[in-house]
Amino acid sequence: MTRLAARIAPLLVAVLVLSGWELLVRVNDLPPYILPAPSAIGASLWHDRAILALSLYVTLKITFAALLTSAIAGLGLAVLFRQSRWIERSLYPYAVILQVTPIVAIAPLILIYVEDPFMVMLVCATIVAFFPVLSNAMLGLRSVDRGLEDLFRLQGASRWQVLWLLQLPSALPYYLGGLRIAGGLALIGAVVAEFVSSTTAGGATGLAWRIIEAGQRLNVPRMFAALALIAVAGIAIFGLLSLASRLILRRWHDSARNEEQGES
Amino acid sequence: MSLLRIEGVGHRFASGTTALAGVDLTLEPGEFLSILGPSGCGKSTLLRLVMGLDRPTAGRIDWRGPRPRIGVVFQDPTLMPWANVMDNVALPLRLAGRGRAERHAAAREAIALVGLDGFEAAVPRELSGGMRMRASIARAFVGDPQVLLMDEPFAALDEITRLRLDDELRALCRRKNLAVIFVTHSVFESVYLSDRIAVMSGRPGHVADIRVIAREEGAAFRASPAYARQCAEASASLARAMELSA
Repeated sequence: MTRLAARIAPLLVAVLVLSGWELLVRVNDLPPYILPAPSAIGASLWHDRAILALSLYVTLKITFAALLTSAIAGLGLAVLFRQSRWIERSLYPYAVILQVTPIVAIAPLILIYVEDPFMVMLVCATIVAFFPVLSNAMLGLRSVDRGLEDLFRLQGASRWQVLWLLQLPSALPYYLGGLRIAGGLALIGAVVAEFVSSTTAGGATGLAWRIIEAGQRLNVPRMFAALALIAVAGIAIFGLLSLASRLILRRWHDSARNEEQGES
Repeated sequence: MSLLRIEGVGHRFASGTTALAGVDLTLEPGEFLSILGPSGCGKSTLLRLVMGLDRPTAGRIDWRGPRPRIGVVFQDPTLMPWANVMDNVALPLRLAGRGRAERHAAAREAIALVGLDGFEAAVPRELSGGMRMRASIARAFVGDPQVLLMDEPFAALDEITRLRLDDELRALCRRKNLAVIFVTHSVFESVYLSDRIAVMSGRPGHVADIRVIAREEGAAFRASPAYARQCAEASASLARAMELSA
């Protein structure tokens, strides 16, 4: 399969599915509150662009804040765990508990104790996104070449030197892999948090709230439009993080050896 | 007086396996000493003890005077894949807290010593196996070592590259008057490189024979009858040692 064909194939699927959908709606004359045609969704995207763009901005703000928090907290905790087995043994189980407890079950509690609505979202999204960063960073910090470890020891390297010059660079590919997963999860966390805490203080509201609101008004095209924006945002975040990872590792790591083998 | 005395050294792993028992060996100043033996005879373990990475469970390992500056080369080049040749070679100086200018000057010198000039900015992935090993050797030389400890450094290289590196290593060590312990399982390599060979045998590892090599400098030695004869003798000694331990 040539590269061009490989790129066109998924687009072709999209075109086929969308035209089939459009045809189905038109032939059966379905009203938009049952199933809107792609053209109606497109029209809604355009017509409601001001509202939707604002909502997208709100959702993305939460997503990126959560991703950043996870990136810092995950790495920080992983480094701390690497320094002391006791700290790891004491705290890691709670990180796992936080991870396995569904966010929809925790969110109502967070709503009680955290006042600022932005902080509520941030906490929820961070809880969802944080764990893969932590566990990948931990794995990475342990995946140090044994020979290099010996060499550092022989040269009398300090703990700080081992961390900074050996463990952190060794962990980088794993860490970036964790961030790539966390990017999508942060978005999911942000959307779920909005759904759960749909009290929405203030005027600016995210895409999830747009979906609820549009649903209540039977504005189904706008529901689909908001959903499409969430999906596109998720793909964009993943693509962006993948690209960053590849650029950073391009020179030395096997995972970024060439474009064809880039993602899987 | 010997630079290093190994007396009655034994080593038992936590698993209970005895890797070494009653090893006696010395290293003289300026001497190239090979430790020759089959896989699993404990020669790498012995070298780790000399490096100070593990502690012997019996016997003693004493350096004459304070512990000398040691350069090490492992079987793998063990380079940092994210760092270029310059930073890899300069690593020991960086860990010793030397300044950037000093590090780079010394690294450049060591890189030239092993013939890697022009590749300072390359990362390990961009180098051939032989070049990576050269970088690893440069790193061992950068701290101006008094003793070089090498654990089968050329075992993974092709024969042609290996012969060339053997030549260069021997010449380099003579020029710097280094004391070297060189672990290998190749009879030919050990005879070509060494002033003395300690033939080891396993279960548990011990020194079975010590052979002094009557040698001359230069690659011509490899073609001489003296070399062939000593290879045959070392080979026979190794075979005897393995028979006894089998």
